[in-house]
Amino acid sequence: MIDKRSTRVLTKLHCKETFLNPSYYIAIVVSSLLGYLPIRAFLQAIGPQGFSPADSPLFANITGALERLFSPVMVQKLFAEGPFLFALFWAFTPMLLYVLISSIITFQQHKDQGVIELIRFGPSNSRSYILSLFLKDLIVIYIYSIYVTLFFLAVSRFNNLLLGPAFIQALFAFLLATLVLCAYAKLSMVATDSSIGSIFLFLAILAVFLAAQLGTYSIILEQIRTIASLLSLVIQWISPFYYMTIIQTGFELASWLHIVGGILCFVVLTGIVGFISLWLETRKERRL
Amino acid sequence: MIKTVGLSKKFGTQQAVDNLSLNIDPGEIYGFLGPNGAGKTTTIRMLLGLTNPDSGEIFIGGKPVNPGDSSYRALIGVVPEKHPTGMWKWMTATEYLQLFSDLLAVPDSRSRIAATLERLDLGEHRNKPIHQFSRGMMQKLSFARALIHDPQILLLDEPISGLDPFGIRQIRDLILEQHALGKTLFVSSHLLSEIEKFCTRIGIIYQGKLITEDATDKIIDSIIPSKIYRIEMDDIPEDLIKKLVQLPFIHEAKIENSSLLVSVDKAEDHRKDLSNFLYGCGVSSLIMQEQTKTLEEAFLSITTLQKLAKNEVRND
Repeated sequence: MIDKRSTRVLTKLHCKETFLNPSYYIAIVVSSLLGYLPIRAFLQAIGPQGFSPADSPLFANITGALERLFSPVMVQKLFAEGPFLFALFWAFTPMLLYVLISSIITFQQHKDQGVIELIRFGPSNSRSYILSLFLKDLIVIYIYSIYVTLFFLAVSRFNNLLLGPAFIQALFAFLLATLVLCAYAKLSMVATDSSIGSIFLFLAILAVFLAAQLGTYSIILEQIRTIASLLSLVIQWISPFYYMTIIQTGFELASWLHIVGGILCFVVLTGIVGFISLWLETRKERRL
Repeated sequence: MIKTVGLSKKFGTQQAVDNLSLNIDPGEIYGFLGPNGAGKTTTIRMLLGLTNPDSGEIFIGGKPVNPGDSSYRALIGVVPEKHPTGMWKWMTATEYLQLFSDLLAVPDSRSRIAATLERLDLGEHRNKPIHQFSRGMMQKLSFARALIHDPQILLLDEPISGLDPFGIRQIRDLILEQHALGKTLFVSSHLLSEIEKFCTRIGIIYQGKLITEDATDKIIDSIIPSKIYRIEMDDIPEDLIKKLVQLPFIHEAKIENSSLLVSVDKAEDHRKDLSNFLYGCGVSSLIMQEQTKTLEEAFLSITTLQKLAKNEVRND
């Protein structure tokens, strides 16, 4: 059973712990700078004669690499509204990894030092503790996404760039994917007994999902696409990136069925992964 | 208040707790003693529902404890053996207690926290980060956390371990104060000389089994059947020991650190008989003192007997 009060109190505690930690602000600065890099490259490509990618070596390198990996059509689509869609990926991913990995480390440290046991005397239980970490991750990431949006909005206003609907749609999909990724991070956290093991497991899960999803767009080798397509066929149902594409398709086709269906799938998948994590932790706890 | 019936727990092939039945009445200070690895901590963990027993039942406050049910833990305040000091370094003592007050939904928590800190002489440190606390202060803070929701039962795991004499005295006074308030205290410790000062009843556990359980003095009396007198003399004649052991009421006589140690039947006071006998032998005692038997001696005696019994069974 999950104790609501404990979960609320512990979520507040975890948030406070995060906001008091200087590394959180370092992660924000690093993520913002990484997000700003493609914007800066894009701006350098705008000259008196209009948009010329060759004027910005960085931008040319980025788009060139993406075109070789995937396709010019995909790159065109990615930069159709300007640099913000690509910048969002760069600004969001490091922060997401920082938050989820720091939660994994916190959990293992708390476990090793007996903090979780102390909380269980509280009276609380580790299910409430895990759920509170999950909620903290969401709160921290959602607050960061507000900051990123405002940051990009300011950059777009200062540079007369468009921060269009594609950005908002991508952000929406990212935030939904965060739900599932947070749940997978919690699953990795309880599945192993060390921080390193949990981090590796989580990164491996992430890598498999990414490989399956991005591999299907790959144009380098036919074999890669075939393997990725087969892998995707098997694991797409448990991959947040698959549901992201469903939502994106929904926005492109203006199909509410796709959008609502995608959202529901995100929620259900989060619930299933979250339930497995709590069940696993309860089992481990009882074995003690 | 705390009752266990046939409680057992096995870790692999190791029987941590074996058919343990305890019955602790409300208002008791129950000392739970045993050597390292005897099953004390496993028992406490089972009482708290942190470890599931393989068999047996637990009753807290008269109600059976079901696996996974943590609601009864509000009745209990716990002082664990080790206090996690590595985390929450940024917290002050007040913030620390506020966290647990919030978890336990303590009404009027602010004034309760202030009062508890004052009572434990931590009032002036209320806004100090807890990472600056000494071991003794941390132990008192742990006590404050255990008391913050005014629990009916206190489970104390090695509460005085690692404290200086002043700290030990403060914790002892606190235990007695809680006892006077009618609380039930379950104290696990290896500091036997301290335990015997405040426990109303004692249970000794060895290799998961409850070996003996009684009032402290009764346990000592049952284990050590004789009285020992230490007799100081100017000079101890060579044949005195031989003469002494021939007396019917004397069990044993020996010389230790230039004093005469005489073990006598504990049922009667033999000091006068001894004095007369020594006078008859031409020696006079400067001091004759009855040696106080301690719980430690009883504990060592019990556990040694258990070890010997185990070895005998193995050798057979």
